[in-house]
Amino acid sequence: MKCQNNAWVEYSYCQESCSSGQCTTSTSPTTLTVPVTNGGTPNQEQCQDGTLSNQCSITKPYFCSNGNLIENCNACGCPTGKECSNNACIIKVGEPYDPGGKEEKKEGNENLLNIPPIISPIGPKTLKVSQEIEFKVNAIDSNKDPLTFSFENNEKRILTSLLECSMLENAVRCKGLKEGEEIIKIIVSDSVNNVEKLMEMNILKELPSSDIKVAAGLANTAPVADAGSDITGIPGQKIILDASKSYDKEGLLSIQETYKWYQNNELIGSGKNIEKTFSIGNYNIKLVVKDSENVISEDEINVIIKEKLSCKNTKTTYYPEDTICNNKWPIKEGSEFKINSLTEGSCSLFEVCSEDLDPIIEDSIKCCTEKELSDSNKISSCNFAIENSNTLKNCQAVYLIKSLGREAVYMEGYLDAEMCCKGVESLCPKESYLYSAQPLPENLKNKGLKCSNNPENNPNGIWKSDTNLALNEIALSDVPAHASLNILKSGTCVDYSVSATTLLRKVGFSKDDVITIEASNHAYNLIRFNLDKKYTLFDMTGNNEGLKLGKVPQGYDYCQNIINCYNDNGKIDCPSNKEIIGCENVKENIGRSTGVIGGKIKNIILELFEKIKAEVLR
Amino acid sequence: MKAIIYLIMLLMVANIALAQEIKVVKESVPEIGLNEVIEIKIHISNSYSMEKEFTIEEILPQDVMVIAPEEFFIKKNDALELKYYEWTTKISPNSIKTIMYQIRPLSLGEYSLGSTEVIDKSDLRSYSSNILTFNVKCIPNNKCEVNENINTCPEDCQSGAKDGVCDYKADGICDKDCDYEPDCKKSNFNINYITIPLGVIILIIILFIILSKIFKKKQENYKKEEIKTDNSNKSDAQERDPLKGL
Repeated sequence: MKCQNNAWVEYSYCQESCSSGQCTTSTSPTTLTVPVTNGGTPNQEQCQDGTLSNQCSITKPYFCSNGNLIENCNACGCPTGKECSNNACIIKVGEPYDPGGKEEKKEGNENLLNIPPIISPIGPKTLKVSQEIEFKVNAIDSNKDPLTFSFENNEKRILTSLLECSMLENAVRCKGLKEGEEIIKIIVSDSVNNVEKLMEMNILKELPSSDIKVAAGLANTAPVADAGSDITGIPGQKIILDASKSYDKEGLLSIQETYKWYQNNELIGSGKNIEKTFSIGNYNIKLVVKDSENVISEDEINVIIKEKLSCKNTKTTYYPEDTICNNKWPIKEGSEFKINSLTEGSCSLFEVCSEDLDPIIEDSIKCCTEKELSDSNKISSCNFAIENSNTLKNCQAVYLIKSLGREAVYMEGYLDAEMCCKGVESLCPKESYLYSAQPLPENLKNKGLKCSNNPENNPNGIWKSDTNLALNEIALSDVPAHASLNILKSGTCVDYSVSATTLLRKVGFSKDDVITIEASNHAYNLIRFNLDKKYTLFDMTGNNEGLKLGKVPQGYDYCQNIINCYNDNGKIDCPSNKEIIGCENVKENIGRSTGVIGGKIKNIILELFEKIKAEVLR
Repeated sequence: MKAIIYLIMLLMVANIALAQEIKVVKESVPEIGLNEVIEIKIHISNSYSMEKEFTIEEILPQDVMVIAPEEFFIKKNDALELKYYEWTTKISPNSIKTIMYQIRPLSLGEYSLGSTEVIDKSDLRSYSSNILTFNVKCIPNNKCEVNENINTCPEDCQSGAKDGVCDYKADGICDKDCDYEPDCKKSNFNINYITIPLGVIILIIILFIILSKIFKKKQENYKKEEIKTDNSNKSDAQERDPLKGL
């Protein structure tokens, strides 16, 4: 086994140094760190997972030897699916087998081949007694079967003690009769399968205004309008005005007229979020939120439309304001660094300025502004995003992340050919594929992707051409985001992570909020969602189901192994584990590049300076 | 006229081709409880008039225990280990085969199963199934436990619970997972505005004391030396005084 500094060897990454063909990094994946007790001497009695010395850990194949967990499958065996060879666990290579199953004649059993319809999320609705609201139920059917909509028991009309609802095609009209909460069931049928969705209805009673002396909790409180932060855009860009942070203790009515947007006192639209384009200039936009008792609250934001200050040399519409980039691949810009292969500058890897990726951002807007997404592959990511996010930006982010996962909307599978070409035996499905551009997904077959590597000459590849794929050496190359998403439509961990970071930055998440992580033998991401205090860790490598809101995904020691952090602004400081949801109690890697203390002091001084400056000016 | 005939023929051929499609559909129940086993069914149709042999690849989610069939494979995507099934099966003409497997999800919330990939061995054409999602519900016990949050177990984790998920809601409870929330009063007061200037002042005072002490010591030394030199001058003068001792 030979290695190079800062390169992959087998499935480990030689971050620091390479000696006699072996990685000598302190973060070698097979050497687990041992907790140091008081006085700096390792605890000789047991290993970090609690295994007593000279005993096997419950995590196969680890053996506790002098306080260190070492791999010893001869003594401890291997996990399921692996076998022990030369005291190392290797993946059991088995032959595909017949799983059995039941066979039926197709005739008369066609129903088995029906895919049930999917209903888009229907959020809770709030209305007043005697008030009517109307909304639509959106559903999609992959088989393009005609859909019918109804309430329970195929009813088109329901009457409960609290409300009365009727259904006309997919339009629902409800009238509040009495205050309270009610759950109604909506059923969509494609004539073979019925799919149901529960919907929460909240009927508000009339409340006296708070200036009338009534007991606390019985008076109406005023709503709070929140139009978000000021928005900067370019001429022709669709600007989305988002009022989703507005609230009211009694609940805001589910009607468009609850939110009204004004420009120079002229109404420009109604609804929680509206889309608008502006020409160059500064615009003062007012949001007026009205509650069920007609009490209003106002908030104002400035929309500043100007020529681009960043991404000046591309036609992109969606880009982050705080990027150092003005160009996209192949122009060298930004700092150079090496994750697998040397970048042509951070801006040509994390291509936040690429207009080729704008359609993906537009998909996320379509999904989150509740316009119908016609593609059934996208609907499942979109539904998850709508159901699990509280602001428009978070919804866009969740959609984009999920679409790289099992839904495989923009990237599909794992590009084994990158590893095979590099000769990484443990990550190449067949020995015969080693040092060749194989196996390739359908869309890349016969496109001429190249692998000139051999055991003696084994450099990492580089992306050279979008049009002539034969010019691109595929061996473990870190591919520009546009090529991973639009040409290869697949990749390895770095490619998935770079694509996610690029797309999320284009949505508008700040440079401190979206990060690609380089770990000792892996790459993944961090995002600090809008309104969140901490970062969420996710890993979509090879369509992994790697976004678990509120926790860390399974399958890897994500918190422990973080080494370096990157985005379009180059190499950046990594957050501490205390700032990552689910990592709070995990010991950090010694080699992690973090500027926590320096950064905090710098921020405090800057904040103090700004405060003093403001006081002096005042 | 010829064009119309060609068009009709083309449509007929297209229809035959469509009729001979291989279809793959995956299904399961939409929801199960934690610790329950879910059964996934994969239906594969062979509309051809001859027997076909297929290979099937089904990638399993990360956080599950495989129940049946027990034999699965593992492959690596970088450092991630993926469990998957790889099967071969023969399907008679004009038939549908249903293959089933069982897994036990180990965590709560939504699980997605990607497309099942089915390859026709005779022509190596690949067919994909639909994506399947199902939900794993919690078993409520009035405690918001480590792996639960407001999304996965709203029965146990009330709004505002410290569960890693920011629940932006005006409900009178400040959610500590949020950086900004209607019920969390954000104080503009930063203790650093006091500690840092105070620290600087203390540092200056300490420096002043130290310097003044050094200065004092130097002065004292100087005075002492002056006295010393005065005394020695005096004694010298006395020594040189011819009348000394008289």
